[in-house]
Amino acid sequence: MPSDLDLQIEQLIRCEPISEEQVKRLCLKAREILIEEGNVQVVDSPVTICGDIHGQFWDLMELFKVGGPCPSTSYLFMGDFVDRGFYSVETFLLLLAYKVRYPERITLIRGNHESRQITQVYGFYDECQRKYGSANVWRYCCEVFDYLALGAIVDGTVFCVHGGLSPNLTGIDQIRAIDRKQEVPHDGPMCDLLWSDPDDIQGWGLSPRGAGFLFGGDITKAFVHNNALSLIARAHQLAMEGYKLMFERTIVTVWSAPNYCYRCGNVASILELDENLAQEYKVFQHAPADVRSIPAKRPPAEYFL
Amino acid sequence: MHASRQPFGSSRPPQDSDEPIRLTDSDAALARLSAVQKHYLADPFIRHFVPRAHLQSARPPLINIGTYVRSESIDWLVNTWIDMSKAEGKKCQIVSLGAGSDTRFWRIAASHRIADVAKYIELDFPEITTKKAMVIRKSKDIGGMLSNITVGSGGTTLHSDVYNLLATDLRHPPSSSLSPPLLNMLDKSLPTLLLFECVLVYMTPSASSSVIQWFVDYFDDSAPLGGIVYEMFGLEDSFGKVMKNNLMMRNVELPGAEPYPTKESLLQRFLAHRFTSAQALTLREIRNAYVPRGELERISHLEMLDEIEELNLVLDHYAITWGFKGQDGDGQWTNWGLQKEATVG
Amino acid sequence: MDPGNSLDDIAPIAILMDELRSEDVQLRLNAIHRVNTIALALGPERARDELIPFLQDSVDDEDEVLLALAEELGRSFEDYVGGNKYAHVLLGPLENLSAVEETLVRDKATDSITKIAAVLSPQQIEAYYIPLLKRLSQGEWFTSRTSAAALYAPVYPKASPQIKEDMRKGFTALASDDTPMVRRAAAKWLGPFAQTLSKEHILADILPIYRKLSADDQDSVRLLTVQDLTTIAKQLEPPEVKEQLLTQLRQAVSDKSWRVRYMVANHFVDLAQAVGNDIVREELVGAFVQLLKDNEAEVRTAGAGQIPGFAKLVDREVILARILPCVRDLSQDTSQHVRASLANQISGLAPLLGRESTIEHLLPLFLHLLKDEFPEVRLNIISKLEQVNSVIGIDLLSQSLLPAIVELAEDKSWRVRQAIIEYIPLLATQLGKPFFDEQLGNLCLSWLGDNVYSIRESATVNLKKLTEVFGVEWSKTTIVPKVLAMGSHPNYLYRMTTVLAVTTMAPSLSIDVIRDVVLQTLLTLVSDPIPNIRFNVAKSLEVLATTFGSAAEGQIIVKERIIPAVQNLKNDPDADVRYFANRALEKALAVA
Repeated sequence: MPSDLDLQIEQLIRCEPISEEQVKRLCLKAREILIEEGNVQVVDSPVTICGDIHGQFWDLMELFKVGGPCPSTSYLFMGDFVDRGFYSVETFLLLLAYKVRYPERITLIRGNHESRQITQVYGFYDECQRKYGSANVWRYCCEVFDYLALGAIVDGTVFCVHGGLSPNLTGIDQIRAIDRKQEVPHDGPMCDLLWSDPDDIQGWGLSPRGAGFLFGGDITKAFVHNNALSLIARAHQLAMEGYKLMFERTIVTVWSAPNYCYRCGNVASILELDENLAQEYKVFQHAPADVRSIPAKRPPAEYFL
Repeated sequence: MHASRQPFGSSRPPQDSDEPIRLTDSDAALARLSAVQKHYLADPFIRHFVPRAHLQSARPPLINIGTYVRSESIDWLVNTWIDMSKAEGKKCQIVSLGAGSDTRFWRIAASHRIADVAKYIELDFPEITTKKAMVIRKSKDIGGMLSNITVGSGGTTLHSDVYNLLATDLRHPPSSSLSPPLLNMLDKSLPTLLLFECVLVYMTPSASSSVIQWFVDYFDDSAPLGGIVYEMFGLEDSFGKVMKNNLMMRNVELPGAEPYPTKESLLQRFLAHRFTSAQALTLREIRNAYVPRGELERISHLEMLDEIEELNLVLDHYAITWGFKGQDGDGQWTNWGLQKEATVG
Repeated sequence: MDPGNSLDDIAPIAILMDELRSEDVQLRLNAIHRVNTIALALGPERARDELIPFLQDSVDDEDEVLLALAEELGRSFEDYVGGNKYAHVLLGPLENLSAVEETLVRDKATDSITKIAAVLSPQQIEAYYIPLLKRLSQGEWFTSRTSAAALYAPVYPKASPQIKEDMRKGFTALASDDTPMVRRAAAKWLGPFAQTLSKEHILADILPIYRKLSADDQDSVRLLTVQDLTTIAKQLEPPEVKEQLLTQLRQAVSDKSWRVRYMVANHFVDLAQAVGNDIVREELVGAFVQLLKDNEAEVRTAGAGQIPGFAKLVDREVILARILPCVRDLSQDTSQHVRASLANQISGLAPLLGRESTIEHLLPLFLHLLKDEFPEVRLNIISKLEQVNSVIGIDLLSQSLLPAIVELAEDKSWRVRQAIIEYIPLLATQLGKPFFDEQLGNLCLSWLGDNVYSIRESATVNLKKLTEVFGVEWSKTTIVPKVLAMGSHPNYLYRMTTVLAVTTMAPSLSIDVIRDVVLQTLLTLVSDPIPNIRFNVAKSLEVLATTFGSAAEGQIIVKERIIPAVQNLKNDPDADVRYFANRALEKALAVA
C-alpha cells in the first residue's frame, strides 16, 4: 500500500496541487526535518546539483528525464524553486514532498526568492491565492522557507550556495553560526549568501540588484583556498548556455530553468558529480509544447508592445 | 513543439486578422498604467483609456522599468523638439502614427508647451480610434481639454483645434492611407516630429519606407523634420526567436524587424530617406548611462529587481532611434537627442 | 448558498441591485450568474415587468459582467419570463449588449439573440426582432452594425416575403458599410446567411455581395470571403460555379495579400470538394501548384498541409506529373516550417501512389528529410513511417532507411534518439536476427550508456522488447552478458543502468537465465558503496521474487538467495535502503 505521501507525490508529479490541509501537514513535517539540518548541510557524492527552477514545473520534469528520477538519483537544489513560472505551487510542493519522503536523497537550500517579500512581487503569493483562494498555503510555505539550509557542502570540498560570498564571511564555519530561521534580511551575511554575484572585478563591488555584493576572482580564489574547497557551485544568475565557469573553474553558475520566464531563449543545465566528484554538465532544453508546458489560459510572456 | 508559422493560430476563420495587432495597444496601455500605479511615472490621464483601470493588476518590475525608460526618453525627445521649435519662434506639429491609447497629447496639453504646438495628429486603425473617440467624448477630464470637438466618419475620427484623431491603415499605400486623411491638416513649413512607437515593426519594411518617404516628400526642404522610432530589433538570436514564436502564438507577427539585426542597422531607417542625421540607443544603454543617477536610485527603491541578466537581455532588444532632416547650419537642431544622465521628461 | 431562504424575506430585485453595486467584481459576477434564480423567485410576470427592464436600463458594468449577462440571457431564460410567447422581452437587454465596445460581449449577445430567435413565432419576429435588426443595422457606432450582420440568418426563413426582401437589402447595405469592421462582419456572416436563401436569391443577391466583398480594398475583408466562396459553391451546380465564381476563385488564389492566399491554401481541400471535379481538374490543380510555389512561407506551409487531402481528389497521373515536382521542391524549401509541414504530410501520398512509385519518388525524399537540420522535420518523418511501411513493406523501408536511422540514433536531440529507439522493435521483427545483430545490435547496447536518463531507460525497455522478439536464448548470449558487464563499471551510473536493465528485462527472461547468469551480478551489487545502487538492487530483487516466486524453482531461488540478500540490506545504514529492503522482504516472504 503506498503511503499518503507517496500518493501526494504521484498527484504532484501530474502537476495537480494537493489540498490545503495536505499542504499544512506536509509543511509541518518538512520543518521537523529541516530544523535538524545544518546551515551548511553535509551531502555525500554522487549527487546532481541544480540551479533555479522558478515554478517551471514541466521543465523540472524535463530535468528529471535527463538526470533520472528521485530518489534513484540524489539531488541538491540550490534554491529559487518559486516565482516567475506558472507552477510554483506544484514545483515547490513536489520538491518538498520528495524531501519529506527521501530526506537523504534530496537537499533543498534557500534562494533569494524563498522569501515573503519577494514572493509577493514575483508571483508565488498570487499563484497560491489563485489556486487555493486564500494565502494560507503561501504562509505555510514561507514558514518552511525560514528553515531551509543556507548552503551545502559535498564531500567536504564542493560548496553550494544560491548567490555567493559575503564580505562578512571568510570561512564556512562562520556560516554555521548564523541564526537562519528568519525572513531573509535586507543586508548582512545571510542576505549576501542568497543575493551576491561573482563579477569580473577585484575585491568587492556594489550589486545592481539592490542586495548582496559583487565579488571578484581574488575573493573567490581566497575563499576556495582558505576552506580547502575544489569548487563553489551557485545559481541565481541566468546563464544563456546553462552554466558558466569562472575564475579558473573555481566557481560555477548552474542555471536549471530553460527558456527562463518562457521568454529568454536560454538552455539549462544540471551538474552531475559522480562518486569521485568528477563534474559532468548536462545541458537541456525546455519541455516541448505537447508535454503541456503551458496552461490553457496562458498569460502571454511579457514584452513591450 | 512549434509546428508551423500560422498567421491565425486556429483553423477557425478569424473574424479579423488584425485584432491581435490592435490588442498590442491594450498591452502598452496596461503597461503604462502599471508603471503609473507603481509610481515610476506620473500620468493622470492613462486610467481613462484603460477599461476597469482600478481592477488591473500591476506588471512585473522588469516591464515597469522598461516602460519607464521608454516613456521618459521619448518624452525628453518630444519636449526638446517643442522647445527647439519655440526657440526658432515657431510652433511645431506632432504626428503620432499608430498612437493607440497614448496620453502624450494630454500630458503636453496640461503643460506650458501646449502653446507651442500647432497640430497634434494621431493615426491608428479605425477600431482603435473609435474607442479613443468614445473615451474623449464621454470623459470630461479628457474631452474637456480639447476645444471645438467634432466626431466624423461613422465615429472613427475626431477633430479639434489642435488635437486630431484619424483612422487609417498605415500598411496601405500612403496615397490612400495618408494623403486623404491628412489633407490640409499639416503646414508644410513648420518643424514636424513623427512618432512611431511600436508600429513599424508590425508592417512590412516596404510599407514603413513608403510612410516615412511620404512625409519626407510632403514637407518643405527648409522645414525641420524629426522622427522617433521605438521598437524591438535584433531578433535573430535565441531571445529574438523565442519572442517571435511567443508573439506568433498570440498571432502577432513582426515582419518589420527583419532588416534590423543590429543597432547600427537601425539608423538606415532614417538615413535611407534623406535624413541628415540619425542615432540609436538600446533601452539598456539608456538605462545605464542616460537616466540620471538620482532617478535610477529612486526607481530602484520602488520594487526589488531579482534578475539583472534578464532585464539586460530584454532591454538589449528594444531601441529608440531618432533621425533629423534639416539643412546646413541648423545650429541648435544638431543637439536634438538624448543627453547622458539628463534624460528625464 | 440556498437562494430560497434569503430571497423570501427581501425583495429579490433589491438584493440583485445591492450585489451589482458591490466593489468586488466576483460578487457582481456571482449575482449575474444567479439572475435566473432571482427570476424564478419573482415569478414570470414580475420578472418581465421588473427584472428585465432593470437589466436593460441599469446594468452598465465591466465587460466580464456584461459577458456573463449576455450568456445567462441565452440559457433558455424565456422559461423564467413566461415561456416562448414572452421570449421577445429578452431582446431588450441583449440589444444593448450587442452595441458595446467589447467584441466578446457583442458576440455572446448575438449568440443569445440567435438562440432566442429559434423560439420566436413569425408574429414575434415581425413585431420585435425585425425592428431590432433595423436599429442595429443602422446604429451610429460600428459596434451595433457588426452585431447586426450575425442576426440575419437566424430569422430569414421565418420572415414574410416582403420582409425577406428588406433583409436582403439590409445585408447588402452592411456589406457596403464605410467601416471595414462592418464589412468584415458581413463577410463573416455572408456564408450562413446564404445558406438560408433560395437559389434564385443567391444568384440575384448573394453573388453581388460576395463579388463586392471579395474585391474589397482591405485584405482582412477579402480573406473572410474565402469561406463564403466554399459555402456558396456548395449551393450551386458545378456549371453555375464555373460561370459565376471562377473569376473570384482565380483572384483569391493570386490575391496580392499573402493572408488571403494563406486562407485559400489552408482551406484548399474544402474548397476543392465544394466546386466539383471539373473545376478541380481544369483550375484547381494549377492553382494548388501555384500556392505550393508561393513566395510566402506561410502559404507554402498551409498548402503542404493539404497535399494528401487534395491528392485524393485527383488522378494518380496528376499527382505524379504536377504535385510531385512541387513536393520535391518543398522538401528543399528554405523554411523549416514548410519542410516540417511537408514531413508531416508526405507519407500520406504513399497509399495514393502505390508501391512502385513510392519507392521511386518518395523514398529519396524521406531520406533527404530524415537528414534535415531541424529535429522537428526528422521527427515528423519518423513518426509517420508506419503509413509508408504498409505500402512498400518494412524490408525495403528498413534497408533503404537503415543508414539514416543509424545516423539518427546518435542525434543530438534526445527526443529524436528516443523516437528511433521506439521504432527499433518493429524493425527487429521485420529484419530478423542475423541482419539485426549485424546492423543494430551494438547500437541498442550503446544507448545504455547514453548521458540522458530517459534514453537509458528507453534502452532497457527496448532490450526487453527485443528479448520478446528474438527469444531468451538470443538475449542470454547477445544482450545479457553486456548488460551485466556494466555492473562493475567504475561510474555508478553504469552500475545503476545494469540494475535498471535487469529489473525491466527480468519478466521477459527465463528462470534459468536469472538463476544462472543474472542473479550473481545483482547480489554482488548488494554491497555497492553507493546507497542509491543498493536500494535499487532491493527493488530489483522484489521484482524477481514476485515474478518468479510462483514457480517451484523460483521459490527455491527466493528462499535461498533473494531473502538472505534482502535481509542483509534490511540492516543497511541508509534509511532508504532499509525501506526498500523491508518492502522487498515482505513481498519475498509472501511468495516463499
